[in-house]
Amino acid sequence: MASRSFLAFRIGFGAVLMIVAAFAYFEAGKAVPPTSYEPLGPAAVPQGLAVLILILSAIMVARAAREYGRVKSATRGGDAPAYQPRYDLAAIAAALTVIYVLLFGLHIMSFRWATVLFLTALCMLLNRFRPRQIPISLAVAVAFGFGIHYLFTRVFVVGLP
Amino acid sequence: MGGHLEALGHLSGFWPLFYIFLGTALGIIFGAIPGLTGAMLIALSLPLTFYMDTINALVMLISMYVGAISGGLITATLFRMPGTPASVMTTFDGYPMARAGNPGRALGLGIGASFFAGIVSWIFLVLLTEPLSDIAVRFGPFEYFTLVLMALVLIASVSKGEFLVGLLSGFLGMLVAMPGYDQSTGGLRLTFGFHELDAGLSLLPVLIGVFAVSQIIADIVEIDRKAERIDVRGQRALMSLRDLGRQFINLVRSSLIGTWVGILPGIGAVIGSVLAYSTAKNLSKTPEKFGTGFEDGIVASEAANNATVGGALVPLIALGIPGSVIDAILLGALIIHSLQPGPMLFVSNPDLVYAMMMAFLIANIFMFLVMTGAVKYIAMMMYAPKTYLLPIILLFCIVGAFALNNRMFDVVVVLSFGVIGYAMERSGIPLGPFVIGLVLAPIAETALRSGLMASDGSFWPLVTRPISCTFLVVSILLFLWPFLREFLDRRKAGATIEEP
Repeated sequence: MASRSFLAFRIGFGAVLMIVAAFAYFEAGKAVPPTSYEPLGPAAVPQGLAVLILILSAIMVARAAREYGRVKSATRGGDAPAYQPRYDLAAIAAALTVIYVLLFGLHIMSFRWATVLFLTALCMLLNRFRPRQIPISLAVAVAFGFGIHYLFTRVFVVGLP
Repeated sequence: MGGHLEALGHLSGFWPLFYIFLGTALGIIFGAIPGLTGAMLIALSLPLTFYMDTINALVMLISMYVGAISGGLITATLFRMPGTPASVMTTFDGYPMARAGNPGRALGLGIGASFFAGIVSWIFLVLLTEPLSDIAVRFGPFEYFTLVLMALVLIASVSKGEFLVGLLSGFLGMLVAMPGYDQSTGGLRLTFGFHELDAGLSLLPVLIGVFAVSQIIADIVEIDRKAERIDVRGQRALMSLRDLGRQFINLVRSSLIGTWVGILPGIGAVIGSVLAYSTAKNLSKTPEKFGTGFEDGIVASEAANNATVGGALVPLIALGIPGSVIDAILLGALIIHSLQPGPMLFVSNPDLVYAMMMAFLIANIFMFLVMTGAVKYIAMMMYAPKTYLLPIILLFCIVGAFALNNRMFDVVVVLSFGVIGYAMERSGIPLGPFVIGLVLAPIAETALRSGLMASDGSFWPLVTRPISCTFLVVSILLFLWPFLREFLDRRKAGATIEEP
C-alpha cells in the first residue's frame, strides 16, 4: 500500500495537472481555425490532449484521495527508511541554482566567476560545510568554472556571458 | 553486406574507434554509478555532439547506450543497487553470489552474458532492419499514426505503476510537444503570449531536464543513503567455456527474449530482463535456487537487458520509432543533426545507418574488453563522492542547454523540467511514456492531419487499410488488456474466497 506522503504528492500534482490542462485547452482554442482543405485544424489535437489529461488526472486524484483515507499513519519500526530524505538540501540547491542563473543571465557577473561561486557554494552545502572539504570545493569550483568556460568558448566556439 | 563491410572499414579509423571506446567507457561508468543513468549521460552529451561529425556523434551515443546498460551490473552485484533500472533483476542473484565470496564469478557471468546477447541482437539488427524499412516505406500517414498510437499504448501498458497513469504521462509528453508554429497553417498555438515559445520547446533542454536534472534532485534528496560495499580486488571476472556450455540454452533463450522485447516499440530493457528472468525460473528444474545467488538468474537478466539494445535499434532505424526511452533520445540526436528518422534514412544516409549497426557490434566488443579488464577499477569509482559529482553534472546541464541556442530560456526550460520530472517520479508517474509521447507527437499529428486531408476528412482509412487496421486493433486490445486482467483477477479472488 502506498504511503500517505506519496498519495498527498500525487493528489497535489494531479490537481496542478488539471489546472494546466484547463489552461492549455482554452489557450489552444485561440489558434487559427481549420481551413476548408484541412478538416482537423491546429487546435483539435492539443485540445483533445488537454481533455484527456484533465480526465486522467481527475481519475488519478480521485483514486489517490480514496486510498489516502484508508492508509494508516506511518509507524516507527522496520518499515522506516534507513536514511532521512534531505528535501531541505534540495530546496537550498535549487535556490542557489536560480541565483547562479540570474547572476550570469542578467550579466551581473561573468559566467566564469558566477560558476566558481556557484560550485563552491553547492559543493560546500552538499558536504555540510565540513572544514576539510572547503579547499577541495574551491579547487573543484575554480577548475571547472574556468575549464568549462575554456572548453565552450575556445574549443566549441560557443559564446558564454 | 557490402554496406556493412564498408562501414566497418570507415569505423576502423582512429577517431571513430576512439569515440566508440570513449562512449563505451563513459557509458559503463555512468551505468555503474548509482544515481547516474545512461539516459542522463546521452542527454548531457547531445549538445557536445552538435559540434562533431554526424557519424562520430551517433556511434559515440550508441556506444554510451551499450556501456550504460552493461555498467549497471557492477553496482547491482557489488552494492545490491542497480546502476541502471535494467539491472534490477541482477541484484536478486548477483549480490547474494558476491556476498558468498564469489563477486568475480558473478561479474564474469554477467559480462559474458551481456557480450553473448549483444552479438545475438546485432545479428537480428543486421538481418531485420533493412527488410523492415522496405516494408515501412509503403506506410502511409494512417499507418504511421496507428503505429505511434500502438507504441504509446504499449509503453503505457508495461510502464511501472498503473496503466492510466502511464497513458497520462504519454499524453503529457505529447502536449509539451504542441507549443509553437503549426506546420500546416503557420499560425502560433499554445504560446501563452511568450515569444520564446514561438519555436516551441526545444527537445534537448526538455530531455536534459527530465532525465538529468530530475535525477540530480533525487540524488540530493537521497544523499545520506549508504550502501554496503563488497571488494572485488584480486578476483577475475571472466566467464569460462564450461559456464558458456552450461548456460548456452539460457543464453540463447534470454537473448532472443531481450531482442524481441527490444524490437517492440516503446518497451525497454527492464521488461526484457524481467521476462527473461521469470522464464528462466519457470523453466528451471531448481526454481527455488533463484534469488539465492544462482548463476542462471544472473545470466538470464544480463543477457536479456543487453539484447534489448540491439533489438530497440531495429524500429529506430527502420521506422523512426524509438524502441526504448534512450532510443527516443537517440531519435532526438538524429533530428538535431538535421537527419530525417524513418525508413528513408536507408536511402538518404545509408553510410550512417550501416555505421550505427557496426558501431553497435564494436561497442559490444569494447564493452567486454573494458569490463573484463577494468572492472575492479570501475568498481572503485563507486567511491567518487557525489557531493562533487552532482554539482559538476548540474553545471554541464545548464551550460549544455545554453550552448544549444545561446538563450537563457533554454536554461529555464532545463531547470523547470527538472522539477517537473522529479515531481512526476515522486507521484509515481513514469517518465518513459512522457519522452516517447514528446518525441512521437509531431509524427502522429502530422500523419493524422495529412491523412485526413488526403481522405477528405474521412477516418475510414484507419480501418479499411490492412496495416493501419492491424495496428489499431492491437492498440485497442492493449488498451483493454489491463482492465480485462484486473476483472479476471477480481473474479479469481472472489472465487477463491467462496471455496470452502
